[in-house]
Amino acid sequence: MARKNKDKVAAYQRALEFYVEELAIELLNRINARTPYRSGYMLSRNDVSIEPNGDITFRNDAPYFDFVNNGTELQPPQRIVESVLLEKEDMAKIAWQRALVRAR
Amino acid sequence: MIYEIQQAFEAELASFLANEDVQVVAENQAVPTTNLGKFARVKHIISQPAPATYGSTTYTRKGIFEVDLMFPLGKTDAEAAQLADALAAHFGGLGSISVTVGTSAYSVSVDLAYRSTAYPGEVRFVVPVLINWRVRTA
Repeated sequence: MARKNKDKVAAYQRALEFYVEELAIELLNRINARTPYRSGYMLSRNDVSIEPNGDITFRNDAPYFDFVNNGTELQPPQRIVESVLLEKEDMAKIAWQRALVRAR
Repeated sequence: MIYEIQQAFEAELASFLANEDVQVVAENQAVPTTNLGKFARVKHIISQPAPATYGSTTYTRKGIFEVDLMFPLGKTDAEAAQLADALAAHFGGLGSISVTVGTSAYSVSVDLAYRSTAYPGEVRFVVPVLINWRVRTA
């Protein structure tokens, strides 16, 4: 019994390590799914990285990303990033489930 | 249901702007480039589709109601910023709106209302106000 619990604790610890990674993947997938494309350049520049302190950073260095996401005077905003961030609870649940599966 | 929520937010915005000289531009309309008046462009952004359930008792959806205040460049920048703050404060303090569709009742609450980064366009100063909402079965 004690051994079983020990295994479980070890599995959770491993899952915690995978969690941030899974969360970053889920975030990138959702942003990619909503990024509009014509040539595909902006879509290809979506990038997510994990900082040493555990923060997840999203970057897109296409020069016109701001114009698409935040809109301009002449075109309405898409709010790609903001609308994905609204789903953070769902993303957290999915990421945790995937992390648990990986930690098995 | 989502249309009733849009209507509720737009009605709330219209009542807020009733005494202001600001014209509301709907999502499917272009902001006139010749008329340099004051405009509020609205956009509804719905997050994720509603999950299919076998009659779940809880129902939640989230979205953003965005109001872009577009004021002519120049002296009115401060005025636009001031109105944006007032708008965010108004929607932030709204609590919840009840929406009834047929026999179903929903409660729409504002999670977060904030002013985003303002930027000068070619001829107008634009201040986006983002109103994050969440709907639940009442």
